[in-house]
Amino acid sequence: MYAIETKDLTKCFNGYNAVDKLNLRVPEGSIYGFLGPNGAGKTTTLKMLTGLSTPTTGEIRLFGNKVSFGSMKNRADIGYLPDVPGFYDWMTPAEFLRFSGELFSIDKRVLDERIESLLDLVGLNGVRKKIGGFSRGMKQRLGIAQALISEPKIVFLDEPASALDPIGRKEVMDIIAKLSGKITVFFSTHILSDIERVCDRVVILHKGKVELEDTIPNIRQKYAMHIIEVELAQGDMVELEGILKQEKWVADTVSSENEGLKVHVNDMLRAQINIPVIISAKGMALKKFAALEPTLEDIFMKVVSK
Amino acid sequence: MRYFVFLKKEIMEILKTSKIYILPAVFLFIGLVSPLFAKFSPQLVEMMMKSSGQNIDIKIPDPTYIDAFMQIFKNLNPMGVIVIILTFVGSVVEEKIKGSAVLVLTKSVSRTQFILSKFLSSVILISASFILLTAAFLLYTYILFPGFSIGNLWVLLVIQWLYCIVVAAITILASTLGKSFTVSAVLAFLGFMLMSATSYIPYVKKFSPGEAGTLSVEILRGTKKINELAAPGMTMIVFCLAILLAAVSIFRKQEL
Repeated sequence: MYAIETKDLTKCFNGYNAVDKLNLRVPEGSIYGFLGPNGAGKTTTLKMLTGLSTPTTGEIRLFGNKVSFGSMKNRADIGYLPDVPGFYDWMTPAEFLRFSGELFSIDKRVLDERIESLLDLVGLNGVRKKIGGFSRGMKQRLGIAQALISEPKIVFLDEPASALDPIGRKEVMDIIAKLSGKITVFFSTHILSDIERVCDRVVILHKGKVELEDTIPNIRQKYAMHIIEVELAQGDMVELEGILKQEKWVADTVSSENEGLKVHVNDMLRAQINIPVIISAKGMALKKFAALEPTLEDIFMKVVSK
Repeated sequence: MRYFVFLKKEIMEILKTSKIYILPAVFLFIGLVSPLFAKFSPQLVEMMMKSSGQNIDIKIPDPTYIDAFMQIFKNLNPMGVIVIILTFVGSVVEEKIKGSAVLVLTKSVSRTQFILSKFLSSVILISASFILLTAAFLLYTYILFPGFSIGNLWVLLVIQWLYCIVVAAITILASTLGKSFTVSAVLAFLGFMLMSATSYIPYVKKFSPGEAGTLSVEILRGTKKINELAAPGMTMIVFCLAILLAAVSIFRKQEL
């Protein structure tokens, strides 16, 4: 059974498909990154998944149960943090968590303990000031805590760290990383480094459509660049470039003063074996030898610019 | 008990924000000022005439408790109505704009509960404010107009309270419909004016909530009987339920 399963999920606004036949299968317990540029349809999808918006066509199932607009079913199984969470400014964080917990009829003693542990998790324990005086980062952290108050099976986070400074972002991503293996986390973002840090799987959404969906290692393999970067500690780079150009497994070479020699190869394994041998045979010494891996940013740009 | 958690939050919000001061203060002011103004208006008119240098001899009959009642009706509509609209017009729309409605509605709160809690909390605040108004009004009327006895005139005050509750229901509906505070406020005032305008339609007039004020004055003057308030009173209850039903039904279809 999947945590989330959507079938041809579509949302149409005035003739424009903001989400277009989206088919997702999110494994239970995974941290699933929902990646896409602004306007890709991420928030629209999240609102449909949480029952806040009605799909034009298609079907959503969470843990096998059908999700329908405004339904009260399975609310305790779902936690949700919108992109800009709105709190009641006159409450303290503990009061807001108590209010959230009471909405689920959680037993008082259980709720007391849970509020304590959630405030610990998000680093707000001991904070007595009203939410109205909170920074954006503190609000996001409280937003995560309130989403977890019912101990949900899945938590939906919409751009949880996008508007934060690097410190705030790190704090939020650390919290998400701590949830790994405990519950399913489905979070949208356009920040690639966040995805690379914590996600097991990633889906890239562009113009409402899924462009790519896989684990990060698989995606890297699929979009492998077949480039080897070489720098010499001793020897003539021009001579080496000339020698390598004659090899059948070399497609192209690009040299620069700062970055050494970039060798584009047809056969990665052969290149990895032969280049050090050639260098050694010519009496040259290696300073750097690296098979370049594509960054998620490279892949993302490639996918969305198709 | 879960059903009352959101209502409890609404009441706490009233207690912890300026709402707790504004509406009760205005209603208390109306309750205090109305009998005072009724009692001293002849002297005030005389003073104004003298200060403007006009030597017209105007005979103003001695004020009675009837004038105090008429004064309170005049002050509640529109002053009380305006304050009710401004106090509650943001209740739904602001939660939608701010995003707090989304946080609550993804938990175990139904949209019906959400709207009804907003309405019930407004009823509680209006009722508390009305108790202040009534207490002040009756106390000053007893003091300033010796011999006054409330008798069955309390019905007139209950009708005024009901009128305020209908205005609150209209405001909640407007707040549900609007996409901004301003739009909701405009809608609330339009709704109120529409309700008042029904008192100008023949045949409908008898049942119009807008007619309750005029009818109350006639009852005080003895030209109408108190049981004639039953028609607008019943209309107000039906009106209130219909407005709430509309607000719930609209909110249940809204995408957030």
